[in-house]
Amino acid sequence: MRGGPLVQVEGLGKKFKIYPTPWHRALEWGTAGRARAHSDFWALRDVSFEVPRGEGFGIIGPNGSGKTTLLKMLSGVLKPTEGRFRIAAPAVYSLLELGTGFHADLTGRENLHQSARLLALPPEVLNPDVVERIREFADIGDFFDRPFRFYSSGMQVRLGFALFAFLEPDLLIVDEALSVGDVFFQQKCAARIEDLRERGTSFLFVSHDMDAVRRLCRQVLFLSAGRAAFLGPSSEAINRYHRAVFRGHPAGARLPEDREADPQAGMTAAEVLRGNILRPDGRRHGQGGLEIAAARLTDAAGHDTMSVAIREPLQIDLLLVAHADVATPSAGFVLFDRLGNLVFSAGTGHHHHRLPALGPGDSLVVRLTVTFSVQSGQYTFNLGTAELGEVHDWHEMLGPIEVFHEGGGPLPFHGLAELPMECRHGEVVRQGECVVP
Amino acid sequence: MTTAVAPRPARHLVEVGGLFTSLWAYRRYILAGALRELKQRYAGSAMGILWHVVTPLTQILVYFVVFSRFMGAQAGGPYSPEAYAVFLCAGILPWFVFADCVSRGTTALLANEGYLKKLAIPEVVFIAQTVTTAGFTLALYTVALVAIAAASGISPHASWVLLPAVLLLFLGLGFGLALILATVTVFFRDVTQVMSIVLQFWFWLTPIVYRESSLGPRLTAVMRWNPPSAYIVAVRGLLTQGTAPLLADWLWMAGLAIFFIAVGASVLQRLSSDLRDAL
Repeated sequence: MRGGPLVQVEGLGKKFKIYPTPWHRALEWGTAGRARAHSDFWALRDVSFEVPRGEGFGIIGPNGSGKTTLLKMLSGVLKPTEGRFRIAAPAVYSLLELGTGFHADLTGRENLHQSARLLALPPEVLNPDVVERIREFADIGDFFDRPFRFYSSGMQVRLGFALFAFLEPDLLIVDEALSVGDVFFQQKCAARIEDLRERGTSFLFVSHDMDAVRRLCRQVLFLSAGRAAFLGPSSEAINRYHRAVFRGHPAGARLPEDREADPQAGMTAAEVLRGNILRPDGRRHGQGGLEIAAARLTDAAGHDTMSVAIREPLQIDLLLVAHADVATPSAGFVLFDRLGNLVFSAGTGHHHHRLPALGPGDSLVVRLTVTFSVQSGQYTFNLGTAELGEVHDWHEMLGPIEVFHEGGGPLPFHGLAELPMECRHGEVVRQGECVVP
Repeated sequence: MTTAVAPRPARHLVEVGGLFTSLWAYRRYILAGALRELKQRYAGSAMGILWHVVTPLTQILVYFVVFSRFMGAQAGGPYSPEAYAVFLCAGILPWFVFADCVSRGTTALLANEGYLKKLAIPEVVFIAQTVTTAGFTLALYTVALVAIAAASGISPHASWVLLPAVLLLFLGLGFGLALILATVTVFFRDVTQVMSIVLQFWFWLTPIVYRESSLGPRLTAVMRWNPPSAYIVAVRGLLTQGTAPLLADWLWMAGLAIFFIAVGASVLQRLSSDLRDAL
């Protein structure tokens, strides 16, 4: 049956009963429910959406917003408290936890069969031909016939993904699974997902990896505190997500209007304060003579954002307020990748940009424009002010900034960052004119 | 609620039916898991599966020495030492499997929390897996029982073919209890500890090392309500005297097994939603 959405969810909600101690539950059981000893917690409420066949559907939201509860209901682990859903497909697999069924003592091959039994699949599904294709795709060499306990985490993911990808599911539920493994395997996965999608497989995709969500999903549901904060095109949903998560603003706050391409646009104290991302409870140290009162991140068009495409610039506006005489102020930006590696650190001093001397009460807006020629992923950053090597105000663990790869094409480069590279070539030496002695 | 509620007996049938549908769908997983579990328990030990027999036999030896030497005729009654040894084996070996089934069954769901949290696999699968493991042990013990009886000079009896049937029903009782206990343990984890104590007392409250009749007529009547005793008495009667259980005994044994499985299925069915939430 083609036509009609594959997944239909209507007013789905899940209530958990919270019992302070087991005795409270015993009391309720003992009185056949007449004594109420639990409190209710709605992890999810009023969620409706549809997923067409052969499409990716993304679910995003901060931790605790109900994403996993939703997926668990759709994959049949939890029962909904209210509402209903319908999945018009027999083969629904969930990568809720890759390799849940994998047993440490069994080899990769044995584990494939073990997983098939765990999913109650008939043995024909995993015929030698399919096993061979899985082995090739997973590409883990001899480890395929070695016990699972010797696998690296990358290999575990490879085997898990390969298994699910070749079971030819109608619906594949993916939870934070594909951001592991090296870039080539990720691309292989992406290609396989594309392939499956063309053959009609739908995807439910939960991730913090906005780059992947943007690439794989047309429609995205943004959950916030168990409610649907937004349902619509992926870029819009991701934008709202970033604004909500990094700003503490309610979801779907209005976006500022476009401004003309004036390099100085937005460089006023009021504008920076309006888009301030610094939190009063953030990590901060320094002697405090030159305070960063506010900071704001905007894209080239002047929109507040915390995400940027690879090779695109972000404008970092700092509102500096002096509390003492600062003769040679400087301000800087430090970027870390998700593993905490220092990626880049530079300040006004490095660029021989002299900021004017400031006296007590003076304020100044400084704009650092940074082009993000780095790999896609999440980055944290620090902002600081200093004078002659003396730290005045230092804000740590800001962000994250999401760097994403726009469009589905090949990555512009591989590795941590793009280094300036030039390509030249000489004259072609044709056959027969060989000058090599 | 607009859901029509089926009359009580019918609902139980539906629940038991659903249970067995799940078991059938996951039969391959249950079987493979039970075999692996059995292998794993003795993995790396030189004698392997033999320990499965040696451990209970040493315990039987201890009881044998204590009861036949020190307590003399009291427990053994009319039996010769050889017959008393068979008598002990016939009680202790099946009890071991039953106790194993109940105690491991109690933790079956907790031990597989990881799967239950992430997969839509029915809960009963994990309980059935422990019971299946116990079933394999029971098959091994049946062979051991027949061998011991024959070795001690009892001539094999045609009625011994009924042994597997009695033991299977006993396992059914274990399955029913495991269903109830495994479900309740998810909500009240203390049940695990409580059950290890209960099983100790239960051993002595069941006529395993002594004859049911040695308790006197009044206690014997009470003892009949202790579910495991019917099966132990039946196995013992078959093995030592070759007497097949009466129809009433069969009905009682089958009835107990079916009753506890139905209650277990009902408990699990009713609590399965809360169960996943509580994990």
